[in-house]
Amino acid sequence: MMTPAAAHEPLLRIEALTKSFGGFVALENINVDIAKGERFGLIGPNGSGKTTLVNCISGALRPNKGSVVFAGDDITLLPPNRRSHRGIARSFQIPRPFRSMTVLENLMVALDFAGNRQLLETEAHRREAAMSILTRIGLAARAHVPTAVLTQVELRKMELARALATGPKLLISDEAMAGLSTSEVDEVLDLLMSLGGEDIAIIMIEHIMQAVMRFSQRVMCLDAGRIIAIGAPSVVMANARVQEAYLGT
Amino acid sequence: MQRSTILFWAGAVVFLAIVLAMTQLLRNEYPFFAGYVILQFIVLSVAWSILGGYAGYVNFGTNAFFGVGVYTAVLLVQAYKAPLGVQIAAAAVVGSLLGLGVGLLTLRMRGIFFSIATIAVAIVIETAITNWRFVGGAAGIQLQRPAVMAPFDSYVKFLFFVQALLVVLAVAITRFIQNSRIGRGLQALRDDELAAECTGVPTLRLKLLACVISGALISAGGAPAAMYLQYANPDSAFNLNYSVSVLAMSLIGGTAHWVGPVLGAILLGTTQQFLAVTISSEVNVLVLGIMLVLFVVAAPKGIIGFFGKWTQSGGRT
Repeated sequence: MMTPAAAHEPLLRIEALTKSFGGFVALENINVDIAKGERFGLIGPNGSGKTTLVNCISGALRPNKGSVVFAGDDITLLPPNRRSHRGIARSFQIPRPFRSMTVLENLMVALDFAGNRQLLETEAHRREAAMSILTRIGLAARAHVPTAVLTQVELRKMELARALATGPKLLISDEAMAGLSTSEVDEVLDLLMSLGGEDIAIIMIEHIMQAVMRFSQRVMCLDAGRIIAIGAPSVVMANARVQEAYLGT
Repeated sequence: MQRSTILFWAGAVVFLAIVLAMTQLLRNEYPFFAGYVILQFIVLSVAWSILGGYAGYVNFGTNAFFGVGVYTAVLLVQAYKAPLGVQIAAAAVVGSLLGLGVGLLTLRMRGIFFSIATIAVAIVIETAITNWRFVGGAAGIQLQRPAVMAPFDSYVKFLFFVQALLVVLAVAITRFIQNSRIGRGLQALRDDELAAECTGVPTLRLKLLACVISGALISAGGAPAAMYLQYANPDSAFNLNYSVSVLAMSLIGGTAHWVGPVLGAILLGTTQQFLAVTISSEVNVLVLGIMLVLFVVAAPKGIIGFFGKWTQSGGRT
C-alpha cells in the first residue's frame, strides 16, 4: 500500500525523545527524521549519547519521554526482537557474536527468526541465503569457522552480515570501523555505501571523520545529550559548536 | 524423514523392547528397583538440560518440580484413586504451569540471581506441602499400590517400564528442540541475550517455553516416585539432592547435545546405586561432588567433549 503520503513519510521519526539514567540526562528532547535509503552520519564526543540513542531506536532501552515511529507505526514500547522483525538491525560497538556458533550459524539465527521467514521455508533455502550474504560481505571462506578465530575486521563484517540477514530497512552501524586499519576502513565503508544503494537506510556512528564525510548525506552531531548541529556534512563540520565540542575550548 | 531421525526412533524401539524383555525374563526385582532410579535421573537430567544447557539458565529448583510431581500423584491417589497414567499426565500439566509461573517471575533475572530464585521457589512449595494435612503433612503419607496389570508380574517392573517410556518421551522432545530453530534461538540467547534479541529472537518467549517444557518433564518424571516408594514426605520429595545430582549429571555428561545428560545420568546414577549398596548411601554424595569438581576442571564440556563431533557447534543429530 503505497499511498502518495506514505512515499514522503520518513522511515524513522524520533519525536521529543528523552532518556535519563537516574539524575543524569543522557538524551534530551531529540527530534529527527530519517528518510528511506538515507545515509545518515551520527557523530559526537564520547559520552554524548550516540549509543544511548541507538539503544532507544533498537529497543535495548526505553526512553523516558517521546516516541520512536518506524514506517508509520509507533514502536516506542516494542521489544528489540519485534523491531528486528519490522526491519531495524544493528551492529554493536564491541562485537557481540554468538560465540558457540560458526559464522554461518550466526547468520542462520537471524534467518531462522526473521520476520519475512515465509520466503525461506526450508533450512536449505535459509542456508543458501546466509551463504549469499557472506559471499557478498567477503566472508564466504570463513563460513564454517567458529567466531572465536575471526580477526577484528572479520568480526565487524560478521556483525554486519548478521544484521543484513534479518532483512533490514534500517541498519545502525555502531562504530563498525573502530580499531581497523585504513584499508580495512575503506573496505567496510564501501560495503556500507553499497547497501545504501539498495534502499537500506543506514545510521552510521563513527569517530573517523573522513569516513563520515565520505559516507553521509546528512550528519547529526550530539553533545551532552542534545543535537548541536544537523545538515550536510561540510556544513556540520564547519559549525563552530561542533568544532568546540570535538576540540575543546 | 531424515536418516538420523529414523535411526533415533529405531534405537528407541530397540531400547523399549529390551526393557520389556527384561521385565519378562528377569526374576530378581532388584535390577528393576535400582534401574528405575537411573531411568528417572535420565528423564530429570535431559529435561533439566533444556533450560540449564541450551538456554544457560541454571535451575536449582529441580527438587521443586520433582516434589510437585510426586505430590500431584499423591493428591490424585488420595482423592480419586487415579491410575498411574493420569498421575503422570496431571503432574506434567502442573509442572508446566509451575514452569510458566516460575518463568514469568524469575526469567528476567540472569545468572546466579535466577538460580537463587529457583531455590526459593522450592522452599516455598515444600513449606506449603509440609502444612497440608490431606497429603500427609510433615509426617508423610503411606500409599497403597494397586494390583499390577499383565504382562507385568510386579509393580516395580511395571514402573521400570513406564519410566523407560518417559525416557524416550523426554529424549524425543529434547532432541526435537535441539534440532529445531527453538534450539538455535536458545543457544543464541545463552551466548548473548541482547544480540539475540536484536537479531530477532524472541528471547523471553523462548525462555518461558524452555521453562515450561523442562518443568513438565521433570514433574512427569517425578510422579511415579510416589508409587515406587509407596510413601511420600516433603523432606525426601523436595530433597535438594535431586537438584545437585541432576545438575552434576547434566554437566558431567555435557549439555551441548541430548546424549550428554543421558550419559551423565547413566554414569553417575550407576555409581550412586553401586556405592549405596557397597559402602553407604551417604558416600555417593561425596563422590558426586568430587566427580563434578574433576569434570569442571579437566573436561568442562563433559563426557561428550571427548567426542568432538557432538560438541562442535552445528553437530545436529
